[in-house]
Amino acid sequence: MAEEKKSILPKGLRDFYIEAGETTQFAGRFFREILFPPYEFREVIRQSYEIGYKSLPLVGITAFIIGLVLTLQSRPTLVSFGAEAWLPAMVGVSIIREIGPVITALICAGKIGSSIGAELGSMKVTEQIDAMEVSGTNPFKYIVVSRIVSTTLMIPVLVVIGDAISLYGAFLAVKVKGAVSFTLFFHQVFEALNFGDALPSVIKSFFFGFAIGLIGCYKGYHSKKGTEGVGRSANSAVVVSSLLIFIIDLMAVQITEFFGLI
Amino acid sequence: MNKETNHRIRLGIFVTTGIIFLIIALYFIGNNRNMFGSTFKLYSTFQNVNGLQPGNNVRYSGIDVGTVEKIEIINDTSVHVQMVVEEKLKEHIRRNSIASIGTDGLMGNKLVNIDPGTLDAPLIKENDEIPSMRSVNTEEMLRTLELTNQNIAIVSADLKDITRSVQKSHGTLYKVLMDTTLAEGMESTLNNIQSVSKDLSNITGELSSLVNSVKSGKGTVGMLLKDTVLPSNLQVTINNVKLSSQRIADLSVSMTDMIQKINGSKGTVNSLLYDSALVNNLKQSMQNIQAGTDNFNQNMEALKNSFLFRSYFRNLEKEKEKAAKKQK
Repeated sequence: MAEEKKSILPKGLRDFYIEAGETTQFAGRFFREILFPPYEFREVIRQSYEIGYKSLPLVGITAFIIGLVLTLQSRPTLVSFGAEAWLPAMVGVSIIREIGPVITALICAGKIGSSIGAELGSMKVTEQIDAMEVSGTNPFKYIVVSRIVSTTLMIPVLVVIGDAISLYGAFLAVKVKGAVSFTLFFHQVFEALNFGDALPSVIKSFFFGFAIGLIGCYKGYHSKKGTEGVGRSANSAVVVSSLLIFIIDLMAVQITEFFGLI
Repeated sequence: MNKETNHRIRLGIFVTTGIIFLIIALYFIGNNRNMFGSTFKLYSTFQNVNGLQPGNNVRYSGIDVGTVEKIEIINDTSVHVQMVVEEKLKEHIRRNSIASIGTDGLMGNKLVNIDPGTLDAPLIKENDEIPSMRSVNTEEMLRTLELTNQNIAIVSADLKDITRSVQKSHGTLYKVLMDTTLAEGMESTLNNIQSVSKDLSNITGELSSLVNSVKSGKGTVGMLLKDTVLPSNLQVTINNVKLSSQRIADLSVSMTDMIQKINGSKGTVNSLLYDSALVNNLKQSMQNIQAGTDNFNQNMEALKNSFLFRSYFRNLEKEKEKAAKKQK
């Protein structure tokens, strides 16, 4: 057996690059698998229900509270400037453009990412994936592709509904402090918004969903060291996907600014 | 209904709700940008757009009616702004409506304000251009305010010097401001002025009534102004005066001629005027006549007292008394 060549890179950095490369390969395999049949529609729908519909209460409550709190916190500052009338516009732009997508994605990274990581990790350590390969089913297509597709499609839906709930929370906060009608509030919100605010936010949430699904599946699919590895997979899936969400958000801002949409 | 179908229905509702929210949001955003519904294009050229951008609102009489679509620089003093305005505004915007660059609130976005034109101007059509008005630049305004502030500071400093010098000098102005007796004097003066003005008012009232009476032809002046016969009489009188003066002139010429003749001749009148001996003789003669008449009077008195003529004179006096009684 030939002696392993010693790397010039530190171990941590080397491991990082290895993981980045493997994740890229994993993503490449996903795109290869998704193009060719058979398509696991039933599994996609089942996962969409688990990932999307079942996350709605958590996302809804979080979004409502975020909208309410953001409005209540912003109000005193705007009142001191005599710009209270700008509160709906400011809160609307903040929620639609940034807070809604990012908070929803982070919540989903915590809930869905960890769930996928743990589920796939336990399947890996209990050799269920290997059993599927033996039985002739493509485990990657059935387990990974369906989950990544589901997260990619469901996160934008959760973001849109979360934005709507968050705006309603903001409206209630404004309503509590002053006599503002529902019509006036939403007119002021949409007066301040434009396509450059709404569309990039929806588009980037597809990438957030893809990142959550990809990292969760990758971490679970490559789980090692038995039951300990399952917990580690779930944990690292949340950490890495959360980090990736912020990186994608940063890139989305740069791209949006490049196209003059801000 | 099995569990899977139930899940699918819930998922369907969830996804549909999300898509509906997204469509509603995009519709409202698009509606605010006038992407739906019929619109028409309108143009205006400005000297300075003060940071106006495509997508900013267009307002007509304070109502959002459209958006700015394109901004182009034509030359160094002209910026061409293309606006998209709701079709229904074609019935209201006129050719002489004026576009100006404004701000939404104190710190808000820039926008184009369209002020309504006059009714005599024709209505606007597709691709028409409306005149623009130069808006007040905040920086220019602040510069002017700064200059005004500086001037106010100078004026206030001068006023401070003036008040200080007035206070120190104790001159007339100081007395006017501080002396209480002066104020009392002023008050009495004002009272006097008030009474004088009252008198003047009365006088003017009387004058007014006088003028009215003159106008109505009362009194000599009124008659002079109003009587139509008087001017013709005056004319006749003037003519007579003219004639008389002519005759007096002729008379004076005759008199001059006569006086010259008297002076030139050695006649009686000349002697009466210039011969002193004749005058003395005449005086003597007059004295002699006086003496003669005195003597005659004495003779007549003697005659009255003589018995021959006494009765005659008595009868004469009686007749005189009778005539006097008859007259009474």
